[in-house]
Amino acid sequence: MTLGACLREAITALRLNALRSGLTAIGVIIGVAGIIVLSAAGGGANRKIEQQINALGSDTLIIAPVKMENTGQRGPVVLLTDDDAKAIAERVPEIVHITREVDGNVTIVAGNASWTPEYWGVDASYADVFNVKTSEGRFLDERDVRSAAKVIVLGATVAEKLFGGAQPVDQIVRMGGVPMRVIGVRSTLGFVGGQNQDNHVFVPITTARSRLPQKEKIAPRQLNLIDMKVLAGADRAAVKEAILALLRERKHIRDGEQDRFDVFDPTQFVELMNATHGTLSLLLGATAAISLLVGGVGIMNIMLVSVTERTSEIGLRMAVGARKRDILAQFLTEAVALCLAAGIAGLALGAAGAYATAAAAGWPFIVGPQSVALALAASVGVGVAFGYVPARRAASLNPIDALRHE
Amino acid sequence: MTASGAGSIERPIIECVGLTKIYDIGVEKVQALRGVTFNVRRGEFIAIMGASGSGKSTLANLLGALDKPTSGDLTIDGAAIARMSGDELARLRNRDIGFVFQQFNLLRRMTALENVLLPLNYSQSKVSDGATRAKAKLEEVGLGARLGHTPAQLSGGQQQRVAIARALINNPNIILADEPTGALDTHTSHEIMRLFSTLHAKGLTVIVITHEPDIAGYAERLLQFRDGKLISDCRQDIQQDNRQDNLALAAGGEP
Repeated sequence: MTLGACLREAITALRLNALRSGLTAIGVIIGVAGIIVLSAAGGGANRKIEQQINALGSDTLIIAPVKMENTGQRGPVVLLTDDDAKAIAERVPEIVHITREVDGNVTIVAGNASWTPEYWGVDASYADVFNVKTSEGRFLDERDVRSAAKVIVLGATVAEKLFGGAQPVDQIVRMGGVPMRVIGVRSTLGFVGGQNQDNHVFVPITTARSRLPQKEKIAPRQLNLIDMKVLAGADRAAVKEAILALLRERKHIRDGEQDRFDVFDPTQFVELMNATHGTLSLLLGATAAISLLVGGVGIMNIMLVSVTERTSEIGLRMAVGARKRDILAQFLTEAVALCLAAGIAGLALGAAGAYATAAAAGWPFIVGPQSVALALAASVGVGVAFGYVPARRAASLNPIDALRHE
Repeated sequence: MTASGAGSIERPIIECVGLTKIYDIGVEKVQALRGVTFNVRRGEFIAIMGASGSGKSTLANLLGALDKPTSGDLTIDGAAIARMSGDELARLRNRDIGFVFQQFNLLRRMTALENVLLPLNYSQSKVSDGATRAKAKLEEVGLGARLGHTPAQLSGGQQQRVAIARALINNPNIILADEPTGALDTHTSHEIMRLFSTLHAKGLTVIVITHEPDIAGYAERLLQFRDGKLISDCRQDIQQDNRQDNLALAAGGEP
């Protein structure tokens, strides 16, 4: 029997029981849709993470004081200061750019609109540490910092909240009563780890210190963070160790005593997200696999029913010259055709699901040819794996008994 | 139909020598055939009769290459059944034997034409003019106008005609009909038997298994079975008249 004849017979038989075929196929449809959504989400998320790492800049390190209440340990409060930043810049040669940072929350008013983002008071070198790009105007420069200029750079979200579609550059906003001139808007970064990276504003650190309220302000030369860019290709673990050692020395922390600072790598966080994402993928993958398995069992069940129903037909076919392999091929083709149809339906459903997921999560919509091939191969695989037993049963029927079967 | 040899000593189309068939049904063995020997010459019209349990159905299965004898030799068209593989038997059933069943065994989802075409799916050689051939066979059995009808749209007699056309599609040498009139009324039964007579007249070897004497009466030779044995093998001259009567009856009854 030719493949074409097998296919025609299979389609006729399936259409004759269209409802039953459709219901049976649901498991496989869901499984395949799962695979598509999963791989699209995986691809989209990875692409997104890549973009974010590139946007955040690689080779960056951030120093933050360890919050005592988080460690449960008691000890003197140790502050990060301007002098620490200066010492690191001088004594750790692998640090190519360094910026001080003080943070706070102040409501910003522009006309009738107001918004309360976090502000980051930084040095001009912040732009070099994090590869800052602006979509409008410019970033802070040395003169702004030296003169404690009343200028501000908006994150994309803040610009949108305060100005809508209007041009923000050279507009005056009031920040806790202080009039500030908008000099630029940072290019959109999007979300990293569920956090909006565009809901910030940048002001010169000098302006922040002299005019704006700060978070946890204790000492005049205190810093919330020190951000650094490490020489490309340097051993970051060693650089981290060198920085920690320097700080322990400066803060007179004895060996064996708890560190008072964290030196962390923001891309580590992205990698962590990646790992979480991997776990999630595994879970989703397992769900899709289980769905395919259950779908396959459904297919096997319905094919067994079909073989029983068509026993006398099988007998007749054998009587008019069908060999065992013809019968095997016929029922296997039927199972595979059903699964393949389910796979195509699942592909459509999965693409729609992937599109919705991508739109919701804000990552690119990617359904690659590999995932399409994987989904179709999986459905054909299920058809063969679960169609074989019923087909084998049909082929091994005794023609005489089969003919007599009612 | 067949290229019969010039000589009168032609090899029989079917040779049965000491055929036995024993079914092992767990606790006991049932001997369905107990040493059956006979030959069928090419072009004969044979009726096989017997009560149920006489072994006639078992013999039909053997003659149809659906089963192998327990012992004895069965040769169909020169091929020894006992030594053939499953695939070779399938090929024999496809090419050399046309089956006709009591319940017609048509596939309900297919049209008459598609049913007739079915055996061609399993032909080893590619058939390019299948549809033309199938139409010709349906015309031969008097159903040329009902090619597109499904079995549900056909009467019992018409369904059996489709089944006969299907049996003829590969131009077999033997037509093997197992109780072909068992599901038909008397009038239709005689119509179907008349069709078999026509096929016989065209040179086909026709074997009809039946338990009805007036159906058996169409054949020129009658084999009677009882308890797995062949108890009589005779040519039926008297019954031939009966056949003529029935032929006249059937012809008169045609619309």
